[in-house]
Amino acid sequence: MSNLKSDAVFKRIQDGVKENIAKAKSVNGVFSYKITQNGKVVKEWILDLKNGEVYEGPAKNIKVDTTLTVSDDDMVEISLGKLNPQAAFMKGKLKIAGNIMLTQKLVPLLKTESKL
Amino acid sequence: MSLRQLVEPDCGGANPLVRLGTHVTRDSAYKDEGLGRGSQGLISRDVLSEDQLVNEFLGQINAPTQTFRMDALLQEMREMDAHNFQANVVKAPLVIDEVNSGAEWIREYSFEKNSDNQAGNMDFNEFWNTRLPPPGHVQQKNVQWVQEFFDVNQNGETTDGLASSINYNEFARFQDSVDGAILDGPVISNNEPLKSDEALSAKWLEEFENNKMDEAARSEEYNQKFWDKLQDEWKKISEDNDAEHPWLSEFTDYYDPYKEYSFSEENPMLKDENALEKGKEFLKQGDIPSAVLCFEAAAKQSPENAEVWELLGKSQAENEMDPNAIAALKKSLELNPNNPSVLMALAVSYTNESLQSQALKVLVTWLHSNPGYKHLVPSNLISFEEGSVTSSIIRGPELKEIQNIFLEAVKQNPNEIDADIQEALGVLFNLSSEYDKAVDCFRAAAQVRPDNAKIWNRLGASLANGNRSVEAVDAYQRALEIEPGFIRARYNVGIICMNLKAYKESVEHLLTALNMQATSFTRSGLAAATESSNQMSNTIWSTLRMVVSLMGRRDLQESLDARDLNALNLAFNSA
Repeated sequence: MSNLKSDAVFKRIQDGVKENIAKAKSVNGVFSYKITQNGKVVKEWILDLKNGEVYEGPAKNIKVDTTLTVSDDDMVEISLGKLNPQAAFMKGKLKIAGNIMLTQKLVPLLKTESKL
Repeated sequence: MSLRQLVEPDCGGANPLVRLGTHVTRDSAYKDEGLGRGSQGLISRDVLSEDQLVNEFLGQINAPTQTFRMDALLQEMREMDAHNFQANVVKAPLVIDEVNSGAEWIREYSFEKNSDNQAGNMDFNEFWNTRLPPPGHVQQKNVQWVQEFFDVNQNGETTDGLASSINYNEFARFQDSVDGAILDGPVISNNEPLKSDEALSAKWLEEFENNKMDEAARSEEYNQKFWDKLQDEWKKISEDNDAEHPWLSEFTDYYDPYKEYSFSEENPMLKDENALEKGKEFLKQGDIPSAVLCFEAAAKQSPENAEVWELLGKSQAENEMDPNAIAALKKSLELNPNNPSVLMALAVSYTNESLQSQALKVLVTWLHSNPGYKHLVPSNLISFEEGSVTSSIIRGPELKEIQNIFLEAVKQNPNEIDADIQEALGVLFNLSSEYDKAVDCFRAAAQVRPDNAKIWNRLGASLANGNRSVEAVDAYQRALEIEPGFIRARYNVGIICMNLKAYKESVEHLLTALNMQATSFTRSGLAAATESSNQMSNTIWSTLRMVVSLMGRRDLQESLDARDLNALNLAFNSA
């Protein structure tokens, strides 16, 4: 199994979900992140926010609502707030299949926001 | 002077204007070559070439006319056509001519009529039979014309460019004038042929109208069916598949997290009777983690004291523990509803936890509890907000509405800055991700209260979230100068460093924050040096883990999983 930079992002999401399962479940969707490197899908992460689980794919007995395909580097950029997910989508760096509206709810989970 | 440079020719070189001209004329987008971005160049070429091609094509035909006399042929054909029709009817079957001749005829007709009146008591029948050009001919002509019109329309064939010159309006005008003439004229009852003409057009009109009505009825039916179907579909979806469309039920579920405060288990302060006083002391020194411990103890001792919960909640927020802060602040509100400063703190914590609509609700309540601005809050907003917060994502219009109310509040006192209102607005703008506006609000608030570390931190956070990281560092520094134990500010500095990809610095700040939390036991004056992981903020840990991973230090993964602060301190030589 290759080690990717974006693993750190997903580990953080994993922590965040564990810490507050109720909040994660309020998103109420199942997402599949396909992480690419050099144009090839190298890893898949499942964000099962119906049951509050985050794990490496494939999905376990659950229907994926939205599949997002993004490169390893861009995933890190998005989580650091360097890359706006909407802009990434427009530029074709982020591909979304399935329920796009649900991804809007993901933003707070992904981005590391400074706290007021 | 610079203008002169532009225009005047220069010795030995093109003047700037000319140079600019070369820029403009050069086809920098390579449109002409059709190489430009996408197919833009190609498309415009296509559009152009349509006309060009037609012209080219026509040109090819025109060219041989010199050898092959088309117009002569055409003339011949016209003559033949003329023969086929009644020789005296028309020169060409052009509708426009027909129309004109029709109009001519009407003019003629009315003229005749006038002269007719002048003629006095002449017998009409006789007159028609003798003086007028044979009415049968007129009728025939009109009928023929109508038929022609339909033929052309049906075949869609454009013999002699007929169809293109046909204009329905012209036809209608013609028809009207004919009808008008007929109705005007007293001759109508006597004129059989004209009557049949009228009947024909009336029939045609009727047919047309029927057609139209049919069509309307059909489309209405179709619409009805379509909407019925759609409604059925929606019903079906909502009935048998709630799981797949969670948003259908989203608006009915009330989401209210963090109901109960969870105490850290082994709190050495528990038996200290002056916990509250001690806590305030720590707060003054800026040692937030220790203050939290004291307030926790005090809250256990006197759970009915709203002030204790308030202090605990606020300290927990500064301790980067929003979930605990929310629980404590709620408890305080239960005991003492509508305390403005508690409401504000709660709104901020909700905002941090991305619970937008909850934050909004609290902000409205805050404004309502403020006697100076109470009247600005519409009653429907308050009653609506009561217990009906549904999803954690707010809808745009609602947010705008509330922002406007707050802006009204600001306008009430244009001469002095109300720091509270500015803070609330700052939070609101954070909710709507308008970070630049939020920055302005917090700057104004900081101007009034330059010694408030919280405001400086909020300013910093707004700057950071608006991607103005460098400016944010200054604001955080001010906050930390005022309150060295401000865990949240330090955590925020860590985040900024991470966003700027200064991972090493980021780790240092995060570790400092964790160490301060971990050692709060010892500092709080009790001998117990046992570290409680409960006292450390989860968010800081998970951020730290991310930074360490981004650094590529996989060897530290285990220590991170075990939350082994000592090992990490060793690895990074801090504390």
